[in-house]
Amino acid sequence: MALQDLTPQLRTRLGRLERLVGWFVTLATLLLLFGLGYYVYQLAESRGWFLTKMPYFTFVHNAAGLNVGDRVRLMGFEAGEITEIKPQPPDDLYFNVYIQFRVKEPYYGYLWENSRAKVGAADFLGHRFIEVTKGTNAIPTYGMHEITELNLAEAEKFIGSNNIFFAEETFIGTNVAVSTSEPVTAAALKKLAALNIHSVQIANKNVPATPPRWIWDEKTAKYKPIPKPNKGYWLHVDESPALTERLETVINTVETALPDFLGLTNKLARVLTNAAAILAHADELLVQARPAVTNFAQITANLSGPKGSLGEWLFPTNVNLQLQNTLGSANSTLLTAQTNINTLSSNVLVSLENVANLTSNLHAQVQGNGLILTELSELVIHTDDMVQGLKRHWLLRSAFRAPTNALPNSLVQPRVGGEK
Amino acid sequence: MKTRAGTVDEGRRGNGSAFLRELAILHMLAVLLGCRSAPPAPPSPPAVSMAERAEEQAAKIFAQHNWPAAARAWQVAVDHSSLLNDLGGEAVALHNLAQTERELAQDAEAQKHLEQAARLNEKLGRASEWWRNQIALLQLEAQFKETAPLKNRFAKLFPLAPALHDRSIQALFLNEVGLWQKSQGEAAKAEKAFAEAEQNFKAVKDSVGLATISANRAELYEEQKNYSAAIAAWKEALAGFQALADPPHITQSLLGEGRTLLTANVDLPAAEDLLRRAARNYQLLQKPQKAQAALVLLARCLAAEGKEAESAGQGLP
Repeated sequence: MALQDLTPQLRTRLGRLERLVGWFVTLATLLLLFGLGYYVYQLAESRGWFLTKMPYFTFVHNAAGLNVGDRVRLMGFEAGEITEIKPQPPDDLYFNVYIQFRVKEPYYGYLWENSRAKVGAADFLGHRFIEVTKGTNAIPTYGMHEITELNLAEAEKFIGSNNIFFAEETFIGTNVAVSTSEPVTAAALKKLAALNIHSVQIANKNVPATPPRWIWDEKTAKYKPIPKPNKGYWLHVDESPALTERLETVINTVETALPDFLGLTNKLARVLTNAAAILAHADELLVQARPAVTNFAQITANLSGPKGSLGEWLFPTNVNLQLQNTLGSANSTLLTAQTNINTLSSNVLVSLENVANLTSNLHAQVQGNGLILTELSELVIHTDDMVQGLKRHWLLRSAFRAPTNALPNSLVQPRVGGEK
Repeated sequence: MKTRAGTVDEGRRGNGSAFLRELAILHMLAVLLGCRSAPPAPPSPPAVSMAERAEEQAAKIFAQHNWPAAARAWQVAVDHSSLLNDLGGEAVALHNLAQTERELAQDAEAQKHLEQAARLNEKLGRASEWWRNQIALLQLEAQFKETAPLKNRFAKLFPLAPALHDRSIQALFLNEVGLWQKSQGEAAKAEKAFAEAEQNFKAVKDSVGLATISANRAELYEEQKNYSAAIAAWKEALAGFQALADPPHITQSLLGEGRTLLTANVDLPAAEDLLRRAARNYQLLQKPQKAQAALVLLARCLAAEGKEAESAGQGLP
């Protein structure tokens, strides 16, 4: 029905309604746009899109387990992400893989000249991660404050100023003449003049530089302006092999040690056999010694007899021979036992050394992969949470009913009379 | 055209049913995914859960017939309930501790704990539990040489019995009454008590009780020298206990049937077989006195069969 077909009153009412609807739609659209904008802003803030990010790079032997977009950690925080992974040219003799990553504000302030990029195993599936280490007692990789290059005459104006420091290192041979973070003093400037140095970099710690405009140059031992494009600062790598390689090494060690271990068990079996033989010999010895003891009793009887002297009594020849045989076999038995005990102790020593090696390897593994234990623990906890949640889900909870047996009552059984 | 129109209609119907099916699937998915799991139940206080766990543990060990361990476990349950001032739980644990002590032949301790449990239940007004304590005490005192305590207890309980409405407890009590009357030589009264007990056990569908009544009735018939009825009752008891997989009572039924056959001097080979199995089972159950009694009966049976030589060869008494 067209609007013109309506009565004037209805047309007025509908026109008013249309206006209201228009206002409502406009307001809803504005609210929607505002909400979307706010959401995007929050997202950007939480993901650090507004933060300054500074590039770094390093070289590794092997790119296994590393991917573009992987997080870079610093002191346990997510400090940045990997932006580029590419192999080095074939004629590069020293490095295999180039990895570039960005570190966001404020974490790049912790990275100094002696910071390292540690590449370690992240899990049992072969993934690895980069963890950059905090620098100590060295120069920040990016100039965090305003840096100016002045001649010595201009620099003299800053003698005694607060928070004004040299921003470069000067050497006499291999000794440091002027170091960074050293305040500007007349003596230091005199030293520089004596070295025929005409200009010097000075950092003013009263004025922070955000974003940084200077990058440390190891070769010249001074800051240089950040070039465009900025490849970043080179962090030296501290790379541990992938977990699979380490496991392979462990298995190889075990494989190498296994024959020794089996040899040890064989030797132990031999030692036990020898010990059994010793016991048999000892038994024989006792049997052989018995007549000797009897004879000895006869001797003492003779000695205590009425005649009481050895002159009338002599050892029979057969007893003498038996005694000699017995002593000979006892001697050989003792020698065999000594040899066996020596062998046994040396074998036990070797096995103990192997066990010590094994445990130290295991210890190193656990120390090198401390995060794995944490993550495994978290995995177990989250799995438990999930299973507990499933147990309470309305669809599945009937399968996990708590035992319905009530607590026990006073137990009484009917008695059969003949039990008395 | 009609055919064509029909095809179009069928197509529409087909589309409609597919739409409905998809709608149903979507609805189910929404229900499945949309309903979140219930929040976890609030944890009970540690002391309460420890006490409950102690009772559960004790009941499990008791069911396994590991009597020394069960006694320790019930003692722990008693202590936990006492710490929580849970008098009901303490009474139950004391009762079950006493039952375990009966199995360990610690009759004095058992009696003391049953009396304690009865006092607690009386204080709490828990009549059924109190009656259970009393029946356990009747069973315990029936094993004593002196009959005076048992007589006194019956004298105390008989006036209270009409107020007893729990049929299970009624049956247990009547069974004890029947056994008491049997021991007093009142066979007719005992038979009546057993019959009433049987009715109650039937009413509560207590298979153990029914098998027990059969065994008690068999002993009664045996005393009355009604051997055919006794043998039938023993067979019934054996079938009942076999269905319940109750080794001690199966062995007792085997012995009873064998003894009755021997006394009646009928089917001696069957009696010999039953007595042999009873003796062996008592040895397996580590009840040497009962095994010895079975062997004495077996020796008598072999003598009755004219197998004295075999009896002497096997070192039977």
